[in-house]
Amino acid sequence: MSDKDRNYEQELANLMDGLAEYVFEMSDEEVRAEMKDEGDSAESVRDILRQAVKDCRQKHLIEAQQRYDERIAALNRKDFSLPETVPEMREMLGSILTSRPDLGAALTAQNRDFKNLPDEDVPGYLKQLIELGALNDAAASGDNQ
Amino acid sequence: MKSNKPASRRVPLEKAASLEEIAVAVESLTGEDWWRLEQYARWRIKGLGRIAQGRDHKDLLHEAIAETCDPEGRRWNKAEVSFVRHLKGAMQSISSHWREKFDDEEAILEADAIRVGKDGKEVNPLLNVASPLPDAERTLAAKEQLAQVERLVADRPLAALIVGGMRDKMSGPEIKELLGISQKEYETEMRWLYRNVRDKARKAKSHV
Repeated sequence: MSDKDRNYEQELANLMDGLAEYVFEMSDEEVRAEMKDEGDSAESVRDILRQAVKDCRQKHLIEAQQRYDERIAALNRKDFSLPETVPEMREMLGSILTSRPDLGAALTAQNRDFKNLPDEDVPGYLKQLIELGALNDAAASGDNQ
Repeated sequence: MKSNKPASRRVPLEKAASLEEIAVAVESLTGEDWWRLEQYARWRIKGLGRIAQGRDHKDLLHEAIAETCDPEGRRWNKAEVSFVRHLKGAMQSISSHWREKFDDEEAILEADAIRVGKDGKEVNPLLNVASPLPDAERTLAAKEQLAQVERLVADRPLAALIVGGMRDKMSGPEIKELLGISQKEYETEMRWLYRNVRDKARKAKSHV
């Protein structure tokens, strides 16, 4: 093959990839000898992978939070007939959960404890329950959608 | 976003490992596995040369895990493949994708440069550039690196033949079969080659 026909970049890549395959297939014994020779860098690799998993977890949490925020924003755009005061809303929540324990279980799965729910979150949860069909259609009125 | 991988090779979602299982697998890797993964990533990056565009082995490892954690990415079928082999496959695929993407982008750049002249004929301004093009520089650098390896094995005929096979993208078993050598002979030459290429690369780096 003439020099003109050769693809040096590809040939070099093939050579390096071949060496990559070789090191990967080394026996544990050979690897230990190399590690002794080169110094242990396992911790830095471990940190890279741990950080990558952590980043993924963070990303999933952020995406879940965004989905939740979007759902709440959509609910807030709707007009629901809710009691006027927070204690009345809490009372309504209690009666819904008594009549529909399945919904209570679903919300428990979200790690939410209704008794400790902050006042500002009560209307949002009540709207979610209504949206889930906890009340008959008469409870929700004036839907803007 | 649509995946670049063929659908037939995709691990079904129900067989894919969860994020928690991946986290456990990361912690379960042995010191030898860490070393293999790091070295594999380093040699793949070396193979990319300038195409790596500043990315290093850490970026490749990070990307492999990130894609494994992504349900739309490279799912890990834990029932069929060990975690370390999955990561190796992911790194191989990602680095190959970087190369293809780079080649595509270069092709697009040249295609973008071509325009229609006043006479209605296509004009490629890149043809009139006197200075070496980026790909010409890369070719020259690759040629020099290959020449270094060839000088290294000049007095070691079997290693030279193995290098020839590797340059032609032959696998280890294919090289052994072609040369009619034993596993032990192959491993001896490969160990020598690996250590010498590695040392040469280290020396070159320390001189920069």
